[in-house]
Amino acid sequence: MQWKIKLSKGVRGVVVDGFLSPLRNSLIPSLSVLWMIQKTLAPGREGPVFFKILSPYKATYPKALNALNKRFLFMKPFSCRALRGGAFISLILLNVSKPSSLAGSDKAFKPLKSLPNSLNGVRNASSKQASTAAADDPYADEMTKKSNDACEGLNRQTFKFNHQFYRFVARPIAKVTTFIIPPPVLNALGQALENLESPVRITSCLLQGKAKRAGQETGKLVLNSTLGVGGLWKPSDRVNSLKNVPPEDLGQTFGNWGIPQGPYLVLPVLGPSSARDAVGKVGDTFLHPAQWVSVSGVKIATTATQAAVENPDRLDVYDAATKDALDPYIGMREAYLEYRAAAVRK
Amino acid sequence: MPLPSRYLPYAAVVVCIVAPCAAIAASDSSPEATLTKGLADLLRLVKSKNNNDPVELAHRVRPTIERFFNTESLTRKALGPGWKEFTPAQQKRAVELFSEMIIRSYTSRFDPNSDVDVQFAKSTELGNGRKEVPASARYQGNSVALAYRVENIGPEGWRVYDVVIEGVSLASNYRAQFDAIRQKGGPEAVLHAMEDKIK
Repeated sequence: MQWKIKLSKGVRGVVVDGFLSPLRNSLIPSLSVLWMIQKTLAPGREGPVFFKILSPYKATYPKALNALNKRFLFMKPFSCRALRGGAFISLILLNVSKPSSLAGSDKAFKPLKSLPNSLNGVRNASSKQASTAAADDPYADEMTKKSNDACEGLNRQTFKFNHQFYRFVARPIAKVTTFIIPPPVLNALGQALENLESPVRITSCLLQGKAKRAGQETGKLVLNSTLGVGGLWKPSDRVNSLKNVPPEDLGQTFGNWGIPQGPYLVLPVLGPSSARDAVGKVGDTFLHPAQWVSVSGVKIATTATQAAVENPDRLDVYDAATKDALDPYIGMREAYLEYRAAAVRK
Repeated sequence: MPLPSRYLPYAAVVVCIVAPCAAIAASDSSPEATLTKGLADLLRLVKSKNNNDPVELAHRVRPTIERFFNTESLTRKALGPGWKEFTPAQQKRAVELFSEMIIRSYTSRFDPNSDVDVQFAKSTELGNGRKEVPASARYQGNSVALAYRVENIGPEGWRVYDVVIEGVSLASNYRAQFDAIRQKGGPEAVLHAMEDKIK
């Protein structure tokens, strides 16, 4: 078995492949993995190193620890048996980020090109399996973990319902909408609604500690609400620092906090979601300015306009994800989950 | 809104075709330079005829795509560990069918009359001789974040083996679908499913 440590030029990435533990339970090895990496990458540093786990988990140090523990506990029946033989299997992809207290000090994070001698004798029963798996699937390192689709039966039924709903209700409405409302007007309405959702994005940025992005969103809101006449136009697109600000919502905020996506869900009419995003969506609704107005007519008008404007978009996305898929349900599921995971990482 | 913009599929069309073919100019050793230089060549090829027929367009771009897109790697990545269950003949057939499916899929939505602007950023290492080239494509007024995954296959230079659009990998999206079919009916079922889709 070889320990493989690959570090990019920026000294932020490490792959630990295989771990043999002489220890007797599934919790301590995870601690020792983190301890070993800390000692390897940050020799002499007191206190914890902050780990950002890219796959299969993304979290900072304490969360990473929890995530690893969960993984090990999940494997407990297997690993306990294996540990008696002195073997423990782990495949951890880690990205080590520099704590802010060490800003400017790269020395503490100078990587070791090889592992300490004390670890050279470590053997891993899984190394052979790992190399065989790599030969079978050379791109395995780029794949995301298997999707959590605990409600697949119900989801597929809802997916079928949505398909018929889109076909017989939403699509005809979209055709009428795009026929009655010229595309530039539809586009302007979409931009105004997007502008109206600024509080959702700003709050989400702040909850994630993304002060700069919150400032950019605020700048967009001010600029588009004034010069852009309530957001009908987007003068912010002409400002380099404001034109490509990734949108945030509460679902992404929860993801940023380390809350897993949970089972994939297909919501009636609304389409793909997840347990985390569905909860986030409820929160987003309360942050939407339309909900702050006590006049129910305003709420209804805003919701109806939003539905009309977003309907063609929703159908386009649905078509894009399903039209060329061998299994449209899976095609949509994978596209949604990957898209949201990427949005959280941004 | 938690879903990609409405023009995402169209932009995806452009980049899925454009990026691999952009590897035409392989004289420069860096993948981003290769992609940038080749983009112009591909657009010239696409715009060389004023024909919007997607079948004709697919036929026209196919040799270029097959030359510079590593279709075997893309298929292998999409099939995942199931690849080893295929016989060499089945693997060859899978590569043919999958590349045909992808090309048809994207050319059917591509508008040769629309301009596309793709800006490539500096590539990052993925390991094992692979790199990822981030890019931003502007198509029909919309901006889309992309990443091209390229691998160095020796003297022939860099070839694209996957395209990631707004965080969604083309290969991994198909992998989940192939897996489900393969587990039920084996490699033949996967081949039949692709044949049916092409029909």
